[in-house]
Amino acid sequence: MDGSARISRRRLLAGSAAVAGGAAAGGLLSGCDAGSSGTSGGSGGAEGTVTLTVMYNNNELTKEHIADFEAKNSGIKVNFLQTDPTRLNAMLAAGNPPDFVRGAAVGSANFNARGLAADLTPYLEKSEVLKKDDLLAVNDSFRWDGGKIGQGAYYGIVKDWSQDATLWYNTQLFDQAKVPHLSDTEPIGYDELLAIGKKLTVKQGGKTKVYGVGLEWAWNVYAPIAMMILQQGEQLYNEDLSETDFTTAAARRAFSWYVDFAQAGVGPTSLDPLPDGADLSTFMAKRMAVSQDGYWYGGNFVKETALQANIRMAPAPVMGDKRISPTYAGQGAWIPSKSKHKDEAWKLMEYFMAGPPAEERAKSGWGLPALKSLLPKLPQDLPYQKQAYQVAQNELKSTGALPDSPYVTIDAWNLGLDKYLQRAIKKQLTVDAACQAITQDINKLLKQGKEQIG
Amino acid sequence: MHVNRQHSGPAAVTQVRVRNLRLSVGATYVLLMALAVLFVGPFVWLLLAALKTRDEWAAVPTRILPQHAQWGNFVHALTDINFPAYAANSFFLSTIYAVLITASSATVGFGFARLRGRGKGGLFLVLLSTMMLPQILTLLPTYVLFSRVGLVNTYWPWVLWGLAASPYLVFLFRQFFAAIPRELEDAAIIDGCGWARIFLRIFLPLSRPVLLTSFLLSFTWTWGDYIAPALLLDVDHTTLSVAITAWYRDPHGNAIPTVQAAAAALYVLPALLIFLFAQRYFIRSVVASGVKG
Repeated sequence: MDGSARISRRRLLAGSAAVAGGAAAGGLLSGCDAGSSGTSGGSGGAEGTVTLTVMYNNNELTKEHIADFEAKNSGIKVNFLQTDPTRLNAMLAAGNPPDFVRGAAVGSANFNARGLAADLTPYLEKSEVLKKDDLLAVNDSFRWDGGKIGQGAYYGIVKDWSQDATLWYNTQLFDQAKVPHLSDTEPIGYDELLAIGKKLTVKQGGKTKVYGVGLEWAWNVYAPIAMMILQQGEQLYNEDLSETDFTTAAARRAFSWYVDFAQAGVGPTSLDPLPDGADLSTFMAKRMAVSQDGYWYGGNFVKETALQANIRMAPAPVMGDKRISPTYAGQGAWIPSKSKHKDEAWKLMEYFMAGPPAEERAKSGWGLPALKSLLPKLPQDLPYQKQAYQVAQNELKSTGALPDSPYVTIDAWNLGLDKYLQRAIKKQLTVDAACQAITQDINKLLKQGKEQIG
Repeated sequence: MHVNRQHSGPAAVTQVRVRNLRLSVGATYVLLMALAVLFVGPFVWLLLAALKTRDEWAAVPTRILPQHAQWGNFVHALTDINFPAYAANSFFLSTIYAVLITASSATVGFGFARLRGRGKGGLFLVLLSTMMLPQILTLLPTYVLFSRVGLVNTYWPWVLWGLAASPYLVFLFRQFFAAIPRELEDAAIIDGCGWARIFLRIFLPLSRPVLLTSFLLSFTWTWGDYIAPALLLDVDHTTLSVAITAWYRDPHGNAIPTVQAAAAALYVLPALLIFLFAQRYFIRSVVASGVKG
């Protein structure tokens, strides 16, 4: 080792940095570029081609749809991102959102009031494909006039929807429990639903062999409870949507029903969830007699020939005198106000909401279409599809919108409700105390939201 | 009698000791076997789930064994998504990150162990304190940063993270290097060796176990990471962890748990094999550095 090989500390650091930098920039550069422009909506590829960044579910907006759309719109390429709320928030925070985003109509007031979504009314007024007078009322949940939902500008379009409170039931399990089948036209009361749920539930060795009723608790407790309140003729919010009173008789009755349901062990809850967090596999395994899932659920049974003879759809249950059968979500799409390619995003909106994918969806029975013109395309080939179609048509007469305040998210409601439901189910709190606590918690959030949005 | 007692006394004591030792060894084995079952149980459960039908998977009372093994679930796992391409992405990212972070952490660890400089102790404390910062806190700012410089949807963030060194691995290397006798370093200096040569020719060759451990740990961190690729990469360039979590769904968007289980079993295999192959080096490095993972 000669003296010339000695390297000072400073040279060692500089050398290390150079080696590392060189390795990265040289050998790795070509392999590291994931091949995208890395900027939302940036122009990429051939000159004049716009890259549209789309955040959606790949089972809904498929590769085939994207290829077809790109073929029909030669100047547009789609950079697809799977739906991911964390990534969406990060992109919005970075001021670089996608150009076309999956989102639900119910709960959109928060985004709309914060100015995150672009007003689509001018596009709707000009469009030859998506026309305002063809939109079903479910799209109104995407409307916001600065103070209320249901009126004013459109900030999104619904892809498909369901009367989500409607029931699917297994007639074989009803017969085994000697419970009469549900009516196709008259809704069952919630109290009666719980009573038959108890009869339909089969326990074996301390475990539930057959659940009486599934409520998809893991997905949403806000929407069904809000619906129960509306059905009793009460409101969840005050006039300007800035306060809630969850201590009303209607709210307490709805909350109490959920507590009774869980304590009776009639169906899965957040304290006793299904392993996959959803009713479908259990319902299909004939281990659930009733599943509150809505019209779209029928799309799952097209290939289940053995099951088809034993399943029927029934109207949404009621709590009170007012029959309301709303959608809990109304999944669709919106275009962020900061999108750099709104015109191109609208083309995708037209294609996806009124073009071949919309027709495919309607024909498959995968939810109800959001356009009046597509309603006749719903499937009626199989007996169970025909029966479900008739129930759904009848339910359309009872369509109603769920309340939505821009100052609090549906997620916050779900978290708050579930937290206090669990404590009430475990008898750590009375129903009255839980409702009082929910009122306080949500009002705190509403106040914060109001201060933020103004 | 007395003589006999004298002769049989120590023998009896020895016998008792041997019996106690056997019992203690036996108890240790029983405990270890119970722990092994506890740790291997979830993986066996995953494999069994991967071989069931959806009905068997949801059955109550729970069916432990499938009636007919559904090997088709593995075929679906490999074909329903572009499994090889996502596996290649995961492998590429994990390797590049592991190589770079091992090199950078070893360099920094060497500096902290062997070089002298003002404020070195304080700087080391600052470095260690960053280990207390939950990564999730830096998620959004990191995204915004990479977005601003146009690195979203590229693999460059992993290169940069790799070059930045990891506090935990720096600590691991520092502990290991600090235990190497100073005489070796002094002899090299007397022979005219510079710091770079001491590091490359003396310390690194002696550090194979810790190098391998660092590579293993960082490879498996990246292989198993979900959040960073979900946040930073698009559909075609993302990793297996994201693909497995999100994309085994029927046309209606319902998860297919049996196929997910098959894919998860395949996903775990590379990390498991690497660990089984290199575990003795891993244990040696932990013993030598005095750091427990």
